Amino acid sequence: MLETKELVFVSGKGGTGKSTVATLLARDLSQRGRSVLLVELAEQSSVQALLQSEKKPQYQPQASGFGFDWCRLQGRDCLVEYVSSFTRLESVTQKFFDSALLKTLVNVAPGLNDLSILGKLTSRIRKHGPAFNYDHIVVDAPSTGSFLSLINAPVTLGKSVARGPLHSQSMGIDKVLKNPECTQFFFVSLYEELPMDELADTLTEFKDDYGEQIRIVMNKALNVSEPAKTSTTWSHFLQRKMQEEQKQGRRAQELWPKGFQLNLFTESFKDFICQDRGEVLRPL
Amino acid sequence: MIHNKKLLTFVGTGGVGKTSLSLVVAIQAAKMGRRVAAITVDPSRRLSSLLGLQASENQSKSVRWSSVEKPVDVFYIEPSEVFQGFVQENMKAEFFEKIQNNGIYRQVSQNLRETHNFAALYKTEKIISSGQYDFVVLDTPPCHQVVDFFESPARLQRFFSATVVSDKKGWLSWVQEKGMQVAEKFLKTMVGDDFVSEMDHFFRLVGDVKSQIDQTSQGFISQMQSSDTSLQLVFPPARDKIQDALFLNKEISDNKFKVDSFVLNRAFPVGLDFSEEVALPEDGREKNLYDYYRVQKQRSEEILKDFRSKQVNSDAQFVRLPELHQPMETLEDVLSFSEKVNAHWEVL
Repeated sequence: MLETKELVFVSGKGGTGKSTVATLLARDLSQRGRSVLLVELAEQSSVQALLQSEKKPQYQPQASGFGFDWCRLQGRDCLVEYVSSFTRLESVTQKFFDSALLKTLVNVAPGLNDLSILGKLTSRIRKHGPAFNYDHIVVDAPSTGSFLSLINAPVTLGKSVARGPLHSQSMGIDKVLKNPECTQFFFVSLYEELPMDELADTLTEFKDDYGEQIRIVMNKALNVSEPAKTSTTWSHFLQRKMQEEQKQGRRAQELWPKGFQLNLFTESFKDFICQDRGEVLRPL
Repeated sequence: MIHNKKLLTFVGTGGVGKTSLSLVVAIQAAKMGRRVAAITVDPSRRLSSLLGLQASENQSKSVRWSSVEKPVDVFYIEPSEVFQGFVQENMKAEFFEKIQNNGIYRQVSQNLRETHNFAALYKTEKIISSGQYDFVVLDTPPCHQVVDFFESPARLQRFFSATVVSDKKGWLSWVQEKGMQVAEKFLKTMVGDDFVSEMDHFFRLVGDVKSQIDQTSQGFISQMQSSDTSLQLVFPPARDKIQDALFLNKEISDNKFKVDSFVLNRAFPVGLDFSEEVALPEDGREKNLYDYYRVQKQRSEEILKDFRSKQVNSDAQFVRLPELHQPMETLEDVLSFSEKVNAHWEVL
């Protein structure tokens, strides 16, 4: 397995299996003896459904039961924690954050929510603000369109004010995101036309700024070596699927040879993850 | 669902096939001789080039097929341009010139999700009220959370209502008057003076368009709630996505809108007949895959049954669509896809 950095964002087109890949990556890393935090950002937890867990992810990390810890971040919570760590006046801070004023502020500075999340995720590396202490943080990030605006938040916000603390914080966060020693981006795709189209578009957007930090993950590979030779609707279907997989596989090699493959698993995710089969993300 | 409706909207999380399905419905309506507009915010590059649209340009295009009675007018919305256009139209010229240089305004117009959603609904309202179309299909914008779209009018209203307090004296003096020392300290030390003064400036200028935003939002809300609007919720047969769909449905009804059809898309591969004898070696990868797809097909019916028992609007339709293999290389392929969907649209 390729070396994995401290901060890993997993994104990709909707429906390609971002949460699945993020969870498996967290599991693989924790099996190597690293301490790992899996972070969700969406309001509805996908990981909870995948793990069939009774618990909902909270702001404070908790054990997932699968070797890694797990939490869900919202911009507002990150911002409250950050400000509290400076003012040391929790009750007053809380009052302020409940006020209409802050709601307005967070809305007016659209990147502020995103920036607060990125600030929290990079705190340990920047040695600034309350940090998560893990060897790896794996982020189940939004799908590609929203992800681009999340990752660009420090630059856009930094540009809207030329000086001051907000500007310098933004620049610091951006530096960590663009540092190949700290951060990696995994983009998940399928052996199908539309997801590959979107992957190509995403790579065009990201490669100039994040080139060597990018890995792709080709998900739901059939991994059939020799199909049975029958003349059934099944064998026609399988042959067509395999041809498509070869075609899109060649396209993936041309687009971005650095990455992983994950086979389609035929059991439930929970059954799959409970079996000990070593690292399931294999180099392409 | 096409006959007596004026606006048809597809909602669902990303990658479920909303854009393709909205084109399908648009084509079917055009075949019935209706004057059709299809609105999309973020088409894939392939789809835009097929339809002859230049991505990143705000434009519309009349798409024709020889076998389809009427053309389909496809509108591609570039949200920040639409929003800019809205502000320019509704703001005094001198203010508009000033606001262009405001850093906060640039942020709001380019990056704010609410702004993007607002642009989509503003444009939809305009197209409907132009009277040129009798059927409009809207492919909802990709949201962080889909429900953002439905809440965006209310959020935007709340957002701009902050300008009320800042009309004359300015926003910062309002903060000081309220005696919010923490707020002041926060703003000065963490955000910085420059940012605060930009924000103050922004609020003063943007107060000028507040009432128009209210009006547009109200218009869109009543359109969405009216009986000639139909909402289609699309979702795939995956456990976590079904949770998302249930959650979304709840949010939609909490906001006093109503889903008319639940569409389980790409439920199973089309044309697979699991009743025929297939001799496969036991315990092999191929046997596993075969069983996997067979179970998936059976499960799709259970999923819909389950869905039906869990949600409240009892008069809604439940639709199952298989995964259709259709290359998308030409405009004719788009038409064939539309025909296939029409043929396989299975109401359960």
